[in-house]
Amino acid sequence: MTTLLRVLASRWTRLVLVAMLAAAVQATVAADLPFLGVVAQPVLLLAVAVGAAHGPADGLLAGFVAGLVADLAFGDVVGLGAVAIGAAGATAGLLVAVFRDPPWWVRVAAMVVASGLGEAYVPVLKSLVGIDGWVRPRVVAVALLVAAMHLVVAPAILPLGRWVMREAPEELR
Amino acid sequence: MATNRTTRRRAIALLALTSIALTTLSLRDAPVVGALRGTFLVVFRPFEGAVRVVTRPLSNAWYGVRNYGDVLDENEVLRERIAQQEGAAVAAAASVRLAQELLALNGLPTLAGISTVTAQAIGESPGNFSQTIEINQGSENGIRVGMPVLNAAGLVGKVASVSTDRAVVMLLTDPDFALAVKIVSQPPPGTTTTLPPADVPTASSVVAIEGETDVQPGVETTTTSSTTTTTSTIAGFTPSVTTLPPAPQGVSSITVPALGQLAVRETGVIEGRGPGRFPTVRFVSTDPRLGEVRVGTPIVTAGGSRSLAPPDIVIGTVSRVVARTGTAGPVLEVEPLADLSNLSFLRVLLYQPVTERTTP
Repeated sequence: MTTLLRVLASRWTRLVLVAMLAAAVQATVAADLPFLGVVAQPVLLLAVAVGAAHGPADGLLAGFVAGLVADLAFGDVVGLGAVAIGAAGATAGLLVAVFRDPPWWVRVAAMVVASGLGEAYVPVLKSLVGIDGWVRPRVVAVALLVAAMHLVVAPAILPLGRWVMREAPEELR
Repeated sequence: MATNRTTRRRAIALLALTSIALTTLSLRDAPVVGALRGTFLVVFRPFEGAVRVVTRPLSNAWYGVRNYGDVLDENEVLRERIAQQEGAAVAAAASVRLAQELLALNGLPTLAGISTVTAQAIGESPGNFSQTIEINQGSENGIRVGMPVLNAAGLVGKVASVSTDRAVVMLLTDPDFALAVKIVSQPPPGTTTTLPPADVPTASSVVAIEGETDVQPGVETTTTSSTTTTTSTIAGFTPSVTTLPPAPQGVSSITVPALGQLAVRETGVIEGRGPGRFPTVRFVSTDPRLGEVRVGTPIVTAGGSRSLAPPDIVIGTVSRVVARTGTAGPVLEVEPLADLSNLSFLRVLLYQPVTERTTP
């Protein structure tokens, strides 16, 4: 029973559940409401939020897990999104790491930049594994639009990123 | 602290290796990835369903605010178009029926003999680097990966992945999409066939052509002031009389290709190029005997024992011909007939080529 409680209270369980929720939002409302033909990426946003809140290592891990969830839910190649979103989470963490005690808006800015870069990682990785046809000028426009859309909601998602990977209380560890 | 760092490094290494392994297995269509995805989707679907129920009013409200005027205008245009097409549809249905009977009589495959599953598009592509839609029918209805998907206008794409009650359809604009196609050469505009009055004795079908006519052995040609009437008697062909409905002046006019240009076809491969760009057809023969490909030429599926789609599904028309030097042949840009940005009800053809069929 204690083990079950520990598992349920662990930040990894929390991360998987929140990632599934983000993937569900991406597959439904985000996909239904594209902006200029570009879809917002809640799963990517979650990963960069964790990266901006907790640093590159946690961003990478959270991105891997969230990306794997998204890949299993709707990705065309399982594992590719995990690498791309993991790299985006790490990017957000690295961007914040250069500041000693970054204020919230720096973290938000890091989330926005990492979102744009993370979105661009996807076609590059696809091209690396032989799925050609996506690396073209449109990638820049898509990355900019995704970054712009994430800018609107990033301040609200940052606390979520902080909460998702927060350590469980001592008695439940 | 040092232990934490080591554990984290191990976790990162493990996840990285897992991702690489999964990517490799996924690219090779390993069954284990399909099974993993199937199991995950059992857990994920209720999540998605709940979120869809909660967010649907939000999406609808947003559409209502943004597109109300457009929807009203579109509705008016569509009503007008339906009225125009109702009459044409009846005539077209009769023609299709005749064509299917002819194909069946000659032992040729027809789409009418292939079972279909009607499905509804329930989700757009959640990513910006894939051109897919989700439909609400899956393997429990007989849908398998690779099956062609069409709507009323023509080919839409093919099934890319299947779960028990859902399937993902890769649209024909996706860069991963490729399919063998035929380019149906068209006759020059203005070619008219005039069938004689019913009381004129005739042994077989009668073709009359304005413009060039190749007179061949066994072909009788008579010329009137306005049209040329050619009576063909083909060796080895048993003539049969086709009864046509009486036309106003005892003459019915239909447009068919000129004799020498009828059903001249060549094959190529259609490939998607991503959103906002029409698919292209490559590997088109430059042989002048096959005729010239013009803008507006129809493109249909080629079929064949290895093709994932049966022959003669309409895909679209040539919108641009890009000539290339050498033997590479031209590249044709194809405008799909189906409106891929507005898909609702679709038909999945339960068709698998002989090479893909598995014996139970």
